[in-house]
Amino acid sequence: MREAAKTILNYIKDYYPDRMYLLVFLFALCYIFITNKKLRNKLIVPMLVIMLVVINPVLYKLVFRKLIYWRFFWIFSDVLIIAYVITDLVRKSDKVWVKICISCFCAAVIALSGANIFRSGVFVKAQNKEHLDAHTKAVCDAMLAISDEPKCIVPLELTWEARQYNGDIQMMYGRNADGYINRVDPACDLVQESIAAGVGFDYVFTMAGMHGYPFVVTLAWKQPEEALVSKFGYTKCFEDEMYALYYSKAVDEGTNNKKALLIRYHVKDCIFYTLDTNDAFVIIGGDDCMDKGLLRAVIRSHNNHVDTWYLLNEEASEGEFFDICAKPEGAGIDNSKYLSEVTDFRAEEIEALFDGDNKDYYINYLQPEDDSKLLLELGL
Amino acid sequence: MSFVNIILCILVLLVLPVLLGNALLGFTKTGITLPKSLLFGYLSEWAVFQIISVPFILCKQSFLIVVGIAIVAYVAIAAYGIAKKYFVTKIVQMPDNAFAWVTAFFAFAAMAILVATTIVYQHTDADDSRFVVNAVDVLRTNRMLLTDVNTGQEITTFLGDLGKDVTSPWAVYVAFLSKLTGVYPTVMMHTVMPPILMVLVCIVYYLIAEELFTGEAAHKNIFICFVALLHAFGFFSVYTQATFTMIRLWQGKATVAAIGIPCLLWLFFRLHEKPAKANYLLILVANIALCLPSNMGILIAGLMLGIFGFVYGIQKKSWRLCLILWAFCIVNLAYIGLSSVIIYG
Repeated sequence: MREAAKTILNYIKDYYPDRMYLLVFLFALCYIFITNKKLRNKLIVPMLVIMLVVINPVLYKLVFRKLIYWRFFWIFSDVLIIAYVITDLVRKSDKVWVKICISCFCAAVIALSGANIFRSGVFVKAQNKEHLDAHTKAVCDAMLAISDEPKCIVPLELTWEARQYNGDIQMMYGRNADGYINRVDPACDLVQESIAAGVGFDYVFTMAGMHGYPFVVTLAWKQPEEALVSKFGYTKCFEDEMYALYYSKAVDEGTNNKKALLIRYHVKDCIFYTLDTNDAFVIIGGDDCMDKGLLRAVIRSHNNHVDTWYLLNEEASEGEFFDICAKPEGAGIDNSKYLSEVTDFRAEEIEALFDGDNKDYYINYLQPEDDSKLLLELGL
Repeated sequence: MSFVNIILCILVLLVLPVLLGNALLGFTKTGITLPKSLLFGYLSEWAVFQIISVPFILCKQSFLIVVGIAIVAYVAIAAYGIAKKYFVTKIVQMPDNAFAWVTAFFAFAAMAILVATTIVYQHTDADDSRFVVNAVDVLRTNRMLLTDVNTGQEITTFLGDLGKDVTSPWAVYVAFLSKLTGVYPTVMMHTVMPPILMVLVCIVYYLIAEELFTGEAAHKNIFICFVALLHAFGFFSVYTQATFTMIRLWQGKATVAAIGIPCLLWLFFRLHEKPAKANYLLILVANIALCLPSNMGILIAGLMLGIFGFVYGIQKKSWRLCLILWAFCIVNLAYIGLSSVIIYG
């Protein structure tokens, strides 16, 4: 109970960080309660009951903590109540000049002690009819000039607005704060992190080529080296103060050479592998993974389709593989079989391919040669 | 935006709501003034759209079906109002003395500044990557809430927080307005709707002022001035009602905070004065209307109905009043239940 009360207090402090404003609001409530019986009954008494219900540790624990709690404070209607009290003070006098003086005094107090929203930095002058950032519009226009439905990898800031500007733009990832829409493939998360940090562009362009994203946008001050960009068949086709846009016609037309990509995932206790080639997407392991939603996210990032799922744990009867088979939710698995049925290649040998990498990191990747044992054994 | 778009916007966003408002206010024999008509026109529009759209979204039907049925419903209601000759009888009460005229000028200027803010300034909000993009995808695909807003890919179930949007399909409503006017949803949400919504905010506080300062034109205007001032200088945190009103009015939850809560308060004031059938009906319409913009509308309206009903019932010694308002909460409970099943089921 004490914890709940403390949490509520913190919410109130965050909502009303200016103690003076809170005091003025409470004073206004008391003022109406004492001086205006009619309004007391119509507004203040119900408002106080609402406060008793909302600012209540017991009800908070039972109900409100599962909701976005602070939004219930909107009901308190502080603006309405404070504005009424000020106006009531103004009308106390019959003399017009007194009314004007009180009004001007109160307006000055509000203006001088309030938090001016126009100077807060939350507003900028409208830059276009969409009310979007001009740089967003510029880079999106550059993409749309080349393709009607551009598939792109973009910095996180651009994900907020790109699809607002044009819904035909498809992105590898978007704003998905705390996974509030769905879980994101960790391999895509790493792409976003790489773009943000301005490092690891070989991984970014590898993923772009493999997943068929002809457009890659980076921050203008964190651009990859030209040599690296050319190596992957991309060219810079737009740049402004905010963003640089790279495009690959080969990736756009699907004629780029897609070298196989083996990714090792290590998320909490789950270790599994995915293998992307020109013709197939394969998962190895993860059948007994208990991290709900992880493999679904990985499958979703591959058009919700798996060609073959190689299972590793012959004794497992529960885990992500079994969950997805029972409830596909759109995921398609063409084939599943135990790796041991197909090849002598063992999970330990796949793991050994990543010796020398930092295996604490959640994503490791390599691109096996076309004639590598793994690809040959799996018939890829 | 072309000239045709502008004409369509005037018809769909101004004329139609006024006709709907006239019908509702005329039916309830509430005096029809232009501000009230516009406000209740929008509330009626939201209520009707909420009732029509949720079942079709749940059944994963085409957006075009909802568009068709909504148009028929709105035209029918507007036609009823016209046939019954329910027309605006008054624009606004004109000031009757010099001081009232001066304060009216300042009140009008204050409201004009608030409205102008929505046009002249822009604010980037990350939440729009869901709310606005949902509307864009509905219009683009004719699928309602079955597109991953992050990637643009089709999805087969209502994922995560998108489940909340099923019972509060504000984005689908915006897509509907875009469909009728030809204005792109992003422009509709960021540029066209905010000034109209801000006008509705001003109307609600004007109506509250009429209740609180009956017959005192100058004081009504002074009240409006201070409401505007407190909004402009109320950026104490990113959470407050004033902040949400000023910077993200087009988002459903902000519409609930800015328009819904004050509107319900005004209706409760009227009910307290006169527990008549007309006032109950207006409250019911407002309650259903507030379910459209946001799940918060469902919760907040339900909570307010429950508590105001309880308190007024005791004050007026009328269990009938209490039970009627509590009965209206059945709507909210139904939508909450449905939302919970979608998200957690």
